[in-house]
Amino acid sequence: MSGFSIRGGRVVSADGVVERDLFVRDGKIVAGDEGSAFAESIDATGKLIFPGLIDTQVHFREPGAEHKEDLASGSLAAIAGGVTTFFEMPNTNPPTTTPEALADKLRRCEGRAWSDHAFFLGATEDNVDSLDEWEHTPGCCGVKVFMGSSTGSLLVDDAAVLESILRNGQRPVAVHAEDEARLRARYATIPSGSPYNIHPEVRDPTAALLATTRLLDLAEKTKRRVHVLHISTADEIELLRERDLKGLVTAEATPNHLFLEAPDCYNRFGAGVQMNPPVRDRRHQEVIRQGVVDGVIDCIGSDHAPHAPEEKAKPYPDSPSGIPSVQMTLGLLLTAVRDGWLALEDIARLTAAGPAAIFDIHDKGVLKVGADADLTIVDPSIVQPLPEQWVRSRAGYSPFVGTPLAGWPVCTMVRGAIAYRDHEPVGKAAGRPVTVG
Amino acid sequence: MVSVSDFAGRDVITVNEFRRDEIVFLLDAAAQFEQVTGTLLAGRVIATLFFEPSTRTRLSFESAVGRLGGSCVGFAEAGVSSQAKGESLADTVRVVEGYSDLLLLRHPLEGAARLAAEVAQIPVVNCGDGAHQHPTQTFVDLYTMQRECGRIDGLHVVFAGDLRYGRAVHSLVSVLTLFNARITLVSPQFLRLPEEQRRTLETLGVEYREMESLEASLPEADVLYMTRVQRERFTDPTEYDKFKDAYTLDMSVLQNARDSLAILHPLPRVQEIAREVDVHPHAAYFRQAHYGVAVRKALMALILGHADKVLA
Repeated sequence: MSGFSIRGGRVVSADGVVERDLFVRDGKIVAGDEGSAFAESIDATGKLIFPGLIDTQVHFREPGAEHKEDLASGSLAAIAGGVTTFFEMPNTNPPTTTPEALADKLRRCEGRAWSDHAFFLGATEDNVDSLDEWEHTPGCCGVKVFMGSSTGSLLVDDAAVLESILRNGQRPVAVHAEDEARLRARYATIPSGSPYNIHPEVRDPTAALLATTRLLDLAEKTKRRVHVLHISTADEIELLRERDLKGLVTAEATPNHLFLEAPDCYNRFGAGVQMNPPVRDRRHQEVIRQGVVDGVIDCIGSDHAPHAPEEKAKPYPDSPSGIPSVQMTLGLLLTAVRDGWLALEDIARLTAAGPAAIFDIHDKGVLKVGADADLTIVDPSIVQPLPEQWVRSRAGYSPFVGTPLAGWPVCTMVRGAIAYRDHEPVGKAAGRPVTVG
Repeated sequence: MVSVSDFAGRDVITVNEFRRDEIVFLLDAAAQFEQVTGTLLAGRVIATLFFEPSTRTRLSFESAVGRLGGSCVGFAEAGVSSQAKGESLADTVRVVEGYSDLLLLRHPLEGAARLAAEVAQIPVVNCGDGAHQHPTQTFVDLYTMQRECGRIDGLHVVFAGDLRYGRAVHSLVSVLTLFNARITLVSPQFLRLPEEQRRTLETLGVEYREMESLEASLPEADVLYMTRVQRERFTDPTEYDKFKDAYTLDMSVLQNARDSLAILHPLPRVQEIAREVDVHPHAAYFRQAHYGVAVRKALMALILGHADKVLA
């Protein structure tokens, strides 16, 4: 591949926003003295250039539920939103609980996944003794534990099992922290057909706080690094701030918890905004936003979790939980910059440098010489309401359609190759497995 | 004929929205406002919504408001807490317009000033945005030329340094096309004025030339507009070192210039103007900053409909 330059854009990093040219050869960022001779150039004048987003929590449903999404359609939505690397969760069918199941996902990605990728290995009571070996499977980004919100073998609601999982391995363990016993007790009391807006009361803040507290205790006890997924409560933010376990514990927020607000969102979208842990009211949203700004939150992952519209139409609580949002993260965060509570630098920190640091991803997350040329070019002059026809997920809907934008990605590159431009895919899906650690 | 009524209630988002006669009118008004202090804006409240820090611009505006007896409310840096917990920009504008008569907006995203102007019933002045549209800076640059040289028409202006990224240069060059200026562009190849800008000059038939030597550009110049070369522009720090010394103005370089050469710089400077030049009688860059207050006094008085008490 010959080299080319990207000229005149404002390049965003966690350290600042600087107008400068980027030079790309063989899929990597190269220095200017090497690149100034490149004949080919892309004009990015007036545009913002972000490091490609690394979304470390998506559910692409393959294998087993391809009617909701698959690795091709999910990763297409990803690059449409500037996400050049995704880490996918193990609750597929069959679940990703063995190296063979993980290898199967990697094979399925060949020629079909648009973004670079890696997969979580799901921890179960049965595979706990193998995790320290299996976590080094090629294409594995780490271990995922469901303390609540799952069924079958993936559910780990036993403290002793959780502790042995944490004692078996080195890589960070990503955890869905809700207290299963409390959830069961509360679900047992609600009649079918209850309004969707009781979801944040059924899965209440205490359920999240109980599990996260237990998790932090175990992390401290075992010294194993844990990554707390989708923080949904003010209480957890305060807990994380108080316990101050930086270096041992990292935390994620989702665009859903940052940009949707109960009760309004349930009144407008019903099951369309039902997810686990739930989107809560403005008090929680404000504190999570503050945590995102001041560093309590280390990264933003979308928790992209699509369902078919007819599934979402079921009465509560049979309606499945999950919101498709892998494509929305960057656009939504740009509205936060417009509204003044977030800086452009924060976006690069939370969506690229942050995830790269948590999961020890090499050569991605920062646009520096020697790194992969994973990037997305944003046109800040796109300020229209988000049109429905831009939504790429197979789910086909998004509660964020109609959001007044403050910029939107118009060109996404994976390792120097344009994969998405002007709302259309370009070339062939050429995502590759990511090496971590 | 331009009159005060052309400015009353007007939004100021880009310089390109202003005709030549309107700019001339504003600069004449600035001259008359230079010494004006008092109570012209008494009881008027100016909102300064600075979503990113820009201390110089904010101080200049606040000084101008204070000199005319008005007062300022606002914030100097955004954040969740200062920003009403993440209220939308549109809502912030709707709230603040009830507290004030004029909205000064500084914002990291292009388009924010335009959005604010669309939402607000009160006038909005763009104090710098992501794309570096910063119209009052351009007016100040023009006013400085007027004050230092007695005219703008027909001046020979040399721009030197980083012409590629220096947006103050781009805005000023585009406005100077309205004033029959002769333009010399001095930069390393790497930092030339962007092609689009050069093409505009050609289309408009503006007389301009490009050179690489600062010394050679000076003999016929009336104005030298220096810019700084920022380290962050460069992927490779050694490139920066190569370029940074190429355009340093000192007394020996000035030997090539007329005694009357006016030296401008949007500030802050790094090393591109030697400290020894500060005592040069036509080193105008600190006065340039001071003129900013006069220009902003005149502009705000015009927008708020109070200028007729001063203008003859």
